[in-house]
Amino acid sequence: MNSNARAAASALLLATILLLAGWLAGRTGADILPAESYAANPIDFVTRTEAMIAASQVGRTAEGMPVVRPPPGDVYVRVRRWEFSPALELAPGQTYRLHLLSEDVVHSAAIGDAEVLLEPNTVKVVTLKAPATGRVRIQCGEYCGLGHTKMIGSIEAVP
Amino acid sequence: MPSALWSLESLPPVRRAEMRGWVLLAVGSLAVAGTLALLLGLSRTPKVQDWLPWGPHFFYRALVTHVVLSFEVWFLAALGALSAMAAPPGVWGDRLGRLGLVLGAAGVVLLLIPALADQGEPSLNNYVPVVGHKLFYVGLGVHAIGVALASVRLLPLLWRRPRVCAAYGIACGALIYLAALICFGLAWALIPAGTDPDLFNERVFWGGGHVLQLLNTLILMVAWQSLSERQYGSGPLPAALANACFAALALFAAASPLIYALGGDVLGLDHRQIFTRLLWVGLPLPPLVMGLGVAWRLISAPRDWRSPAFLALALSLFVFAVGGFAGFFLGVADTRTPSHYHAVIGGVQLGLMGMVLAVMLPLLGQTAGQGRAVRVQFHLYGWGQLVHALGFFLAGAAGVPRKTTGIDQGLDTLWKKVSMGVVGMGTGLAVLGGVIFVWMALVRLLRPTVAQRAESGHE
Ligand SMILES: [Cu+2]
Repeated sequence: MNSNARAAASALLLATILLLAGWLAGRTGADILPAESYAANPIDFVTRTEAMIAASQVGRTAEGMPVVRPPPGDVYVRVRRWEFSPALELAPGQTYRLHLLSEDVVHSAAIGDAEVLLEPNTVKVVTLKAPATGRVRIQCGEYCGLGHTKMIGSIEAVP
Repeated sequence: MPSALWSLESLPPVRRAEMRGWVLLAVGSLAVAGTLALLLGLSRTPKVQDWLPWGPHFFYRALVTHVVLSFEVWFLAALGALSAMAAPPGVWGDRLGRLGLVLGAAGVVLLLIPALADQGEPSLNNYVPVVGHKLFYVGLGVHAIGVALASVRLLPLLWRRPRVCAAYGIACGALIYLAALICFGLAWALIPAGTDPDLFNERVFWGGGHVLQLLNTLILMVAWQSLSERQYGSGPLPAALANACFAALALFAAASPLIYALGGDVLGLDHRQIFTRLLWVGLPLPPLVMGLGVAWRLISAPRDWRSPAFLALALSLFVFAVGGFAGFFLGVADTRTPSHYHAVIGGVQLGLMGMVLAVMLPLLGQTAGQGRAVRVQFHLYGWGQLVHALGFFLAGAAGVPRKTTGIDQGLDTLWKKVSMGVVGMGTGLAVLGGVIFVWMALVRLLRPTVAQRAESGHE
């Protein structure tokens, strides 16, 4: 009985050391969204976003933001406390390059199960393939103030 | 025999006085936290809010202070009480304990001031939310140092033999706590000056906050050990295996500060995620092994549903297991309201409540008895937490992205209302259980002991 307990204890500690080594070594970041980045002037970025909104808005608003249906390719999204704007309507199956720029503090974009950190003054570009139907979850994953939990963007695939 | 480890006679009067102080600080903090919860409810009630002396931002300040008292201070003061029980006898240990208790209590008083004085920017960052005011940070720091002083005297137990299960577990808890403090300190030192306050708060408490979850788990395991000794005369596992469970958690905590050297930028995403993985990789195994031992005890030995120790064991295991299962295997879809976290913490709370009523009070010469109030309290709190978690789970299921048009949308709204109603019902039951607990514990802590009453001829 006593030797069984000792064997079990040794097994538990051995398993723990293996788990520990795995934890310390395993920082591959599988849940980090791959992204390109470039430095950008916030004013230029806003100009580009406004031009996109003017060219592709559908005439509706969602939660106070204009809904935009841009052609596949480059899409500009302004990020600030506590919104991602504009709201996007995407064509199913098409591929988009989301350019995200934070205008105030550090935020993040959690899209699906992966996430990218958004520091001010650096645009992050992530590739997004619109699903056949439904919403794509995009929300801030880095605490950024009392409105943080409501910082959820609107991306929807509409045929 | 382990069951004879802690008795009224084995704890010297100095230690008993210190321990009573820590338990009073722990339960008193819960009482203040409950009062704050009531006030913050009133501050959002029309008409009544005009009568309160606080401005519109009182709500978040009170919420932050409520969370810090009912999660941080309650668990850390409990660690202080455990340290008074387990520390090796000696003058230095007594002095450290007394000084620690004074600092621990002074810190709590300081951190209460900003909320009551209606000052400071509240921040609802993870783990340790803060009121952005000097006195709040100073209060947290003073409290933390107090608990640290009480904890360091336990470190010699880590290599002393023979190892006594519960005492060794508590010493592992002290080690985990000190590792969390080192993480807080390293983060503080590494975060660049001028970082936005919200991000600063989030990241300064991120790593250590995760390590504190290991401490909560360990406190639950120590409660299982002690309650099982009280109920069955021996722990749930053979001593060597139980000690290995405690040590396994402590190993992960002890290695955690390394992340500040290995895990990249303290403000980066890698750093954040490696601590998230700490809980996935490091936390589940030890409580799983010990929980199986507890489950075996509950099944194979006679079940006494009138005994507070038995109820605390059974309900804390069940609630903790439901929460742990939901978190680990179902992955819970909505990351923002992790329903499993409430259940897991609810399980820890039940274990610690049982520890206070069935182990600590008897050590102070008080008895919780087998009265109906004790049983009702455990059932209300335990089932309340389960109903609460179920409601959140339902609400989360409603939030899953899907096609919503016309009738579907109406059904969705109804579903949300029902699930939030379930959450509210669970909260109500749990709060009622919590209030009964605080009341029973405070009354017993403040009245003369059984022996004193017998002496003065009242009984
Ligand atoms: Cu944000």
